Amino acid sequence: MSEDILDQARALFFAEAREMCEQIESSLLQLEEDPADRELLNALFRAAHTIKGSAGLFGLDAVVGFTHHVENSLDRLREGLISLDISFTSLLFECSDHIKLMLRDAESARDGAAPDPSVEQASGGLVVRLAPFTGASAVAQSPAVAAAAAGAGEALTDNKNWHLSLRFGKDTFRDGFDPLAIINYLATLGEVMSVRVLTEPIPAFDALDPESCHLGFEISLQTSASKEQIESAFDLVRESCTVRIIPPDRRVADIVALIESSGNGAAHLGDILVDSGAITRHELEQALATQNAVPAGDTTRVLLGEMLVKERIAPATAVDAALTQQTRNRDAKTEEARFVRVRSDKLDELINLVGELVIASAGTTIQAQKTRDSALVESTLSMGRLIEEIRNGALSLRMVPIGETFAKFKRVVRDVAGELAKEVSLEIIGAETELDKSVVEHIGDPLMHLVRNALDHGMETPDEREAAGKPRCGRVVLSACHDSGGILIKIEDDGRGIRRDKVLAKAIEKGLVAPGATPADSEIDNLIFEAGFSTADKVTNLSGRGVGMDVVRRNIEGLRGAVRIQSVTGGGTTVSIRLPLTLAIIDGFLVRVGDCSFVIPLSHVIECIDGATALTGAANETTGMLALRDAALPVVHLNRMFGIKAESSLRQSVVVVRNGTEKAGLVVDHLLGEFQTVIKPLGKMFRNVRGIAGSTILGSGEVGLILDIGSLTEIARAQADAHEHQRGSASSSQRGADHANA
Amino acid sequence: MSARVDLPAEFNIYAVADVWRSVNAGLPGAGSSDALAIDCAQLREIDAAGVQVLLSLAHTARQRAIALQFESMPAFLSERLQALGAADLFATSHDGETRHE
Repeated sequence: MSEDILDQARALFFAEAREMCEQIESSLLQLEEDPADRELLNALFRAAHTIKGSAGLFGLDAVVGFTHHVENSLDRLREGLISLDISFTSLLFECSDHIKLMLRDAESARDGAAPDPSVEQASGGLVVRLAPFTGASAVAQSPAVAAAAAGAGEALTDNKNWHLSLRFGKDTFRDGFDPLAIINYLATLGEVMSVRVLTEPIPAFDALDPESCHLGFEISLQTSASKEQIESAFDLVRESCTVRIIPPDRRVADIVALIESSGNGAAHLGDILVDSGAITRHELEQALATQNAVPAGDTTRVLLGEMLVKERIAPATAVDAALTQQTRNRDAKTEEARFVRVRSDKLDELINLVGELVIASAGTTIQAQKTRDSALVESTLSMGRLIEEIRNGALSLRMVPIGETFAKFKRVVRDVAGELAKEVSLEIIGAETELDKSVVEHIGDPLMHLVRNALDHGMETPDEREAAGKPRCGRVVLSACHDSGGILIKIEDDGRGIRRDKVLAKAIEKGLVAPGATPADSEIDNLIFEAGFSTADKVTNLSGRGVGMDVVRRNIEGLRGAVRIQSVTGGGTTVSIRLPLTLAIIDGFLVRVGDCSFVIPLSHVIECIDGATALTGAANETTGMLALRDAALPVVHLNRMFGIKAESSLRQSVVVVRNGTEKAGLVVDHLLGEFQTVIKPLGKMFRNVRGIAGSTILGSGEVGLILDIGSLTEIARAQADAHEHQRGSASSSQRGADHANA
Repeated sequence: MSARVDLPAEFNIYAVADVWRSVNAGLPGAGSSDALAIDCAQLREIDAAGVQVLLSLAHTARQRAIALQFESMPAFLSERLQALGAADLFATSHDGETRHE
């Protein structure tokens, strides 16, 4: 095997081993709810077993040794010898974490780093703690010793010999064969530990046909020979003799382990059993011949697995393992048929090209419309529809359910609640909601911080909850749904809510709010997203360091998302994160202001008002108000905002947009219509320009700027609030004046 | 009165039918309280067919309460019986008589 292939195999092993650790954690979490689920217990055991087996292939003795102890405890759990209580579950979680640590250590050792001695020490500690569950004596072993035990210890099982059950056919003697010679041959393969002759089948002397063989034997044989080699002793008498070769317990365990870990992809049960050495090819052929003697569909026809066990051809545990493997193979085949692994950079390249295609298509449509050739316009529209479908298809390739990210939080909530001595249950809603892989990759960390925060700051202790008339067990809900063309993720808790007095006091202390100011509740709540802000009395390793919430906001905004917090004192807190579904392509609405083109993400557009006249506000102000169906709508004049010379003779139009619950109007010169657009990142220089989220290239080759509706609605809202405030002050002054005049 | 059987030098598949016929003809009946002496003095070779005859004989003798007596039993016969897991069935007392348990 070349170095390259070996490296790839190693990389694959590390990735798979980590997946197996995730599998252990996920099974443990599910077992906490349903401790008797055998399939979960098997999955748990299989995961540990796979890690051990694969680690052995790469010579990672420390991992093999440690995982062996974990596997032993899981085996006893599976056998019902021990039960899964909270302490054992927690220990297994620690073991899973430790395996991950060992894997990391092994991976870095490969990169030239020295192995961490503390990892070996920690292994010893965990092995001692595992001892009561493995049935072993509580002696800490070094991983190397444990690794040796993993191989040698299993030899000390009760039944370490092969058992041969022989029934010779009547013609054995006449055919010139002597069972005595066969038994003598067996002795050359190892050591015949015992032989018992069966006297029952031998007729009474007067009824005996002395030339007919009635002999049967039960033989115990100690040998390192394979089943095939043992079977070869009976090659010449195979036709007339019934031979059952039952492997020793150790061999059965090896066979079961081999079946479970080999990833044998055979579709047939018999092939899996033959490949693992549980039965020989000849035994399989005989069993199949017996089975096929009864026509298919006949109710008396016995299943192969049943027959093999009943006839003592194969151990029941091996047949069970093979049946499970067969089912897995079928599932895997179905899965394989459903999935193709594609490198993500290839996918990115495809999406980029589709993006260019979208731009080219938009350009073609514009050019076609200019020609006024109806057939050409029809063709380009038809092509545009197809390209739209290709775009949707290409983008959906990158879509992954958010459930995998959410599932990780079950463990987080369990552990954090345990550390804080709080009782918290996590509910997950909308795990199937899909969003772009790159968004999913970036949302994990912010979510982690928010969930930890909810538990650390938001959630009360069980006693506090009881005193407040709430159930002792708190509730955190992690939900996701599609909303307004994006995704809305919420982290809700039913804790104490934000303590606004504390937040405000801290904000004043930090100089974030002027002393004596009375900000609105929502403003106070959102202060927690300010840099360096924390109200925790003591810093814990979970949260309270004052780094995090501002980073959370920055990360979310970096994804073109927005984060909002709502809180009810004593009732809980809800953090809402709004994210775009993808970062690559959006449906836009193209507008023109002066000689500049802007793209408004279509998902934000509510309506367009062509030639709006009822605009208020000073001629030089960026913002103003528009009377829209008896309601005041704050508007932003894009020309003034970006310093563009507008065509003054023109009647201006307004695009009404929405961001969450807030609405605003964008005043533009021309409405050009819907337009699919590929988002290109802004250069460093323009990255901090407020109101611009990105850029794109129009079909004409011209650059278009994509508007950041979140910040524009904020600007409009701030202006509206200021107007409201002024109006309030003005009316109160007026009232005061009226009162004075009265 | 006791019956007596002389085993041939080669007690194998080729000889079992003759031995069987001769023994069967002189085998004491049930309740006769007779003994059956098996003389192995000439025996040089035995195979599983020969052992099977002895096993059947031992079984029937036990049923009929006939005392089986091996005379001049060679070491190799014990070894063969041992190899076939049949030694216990022919366990003899110090006077050469088979124990019926």
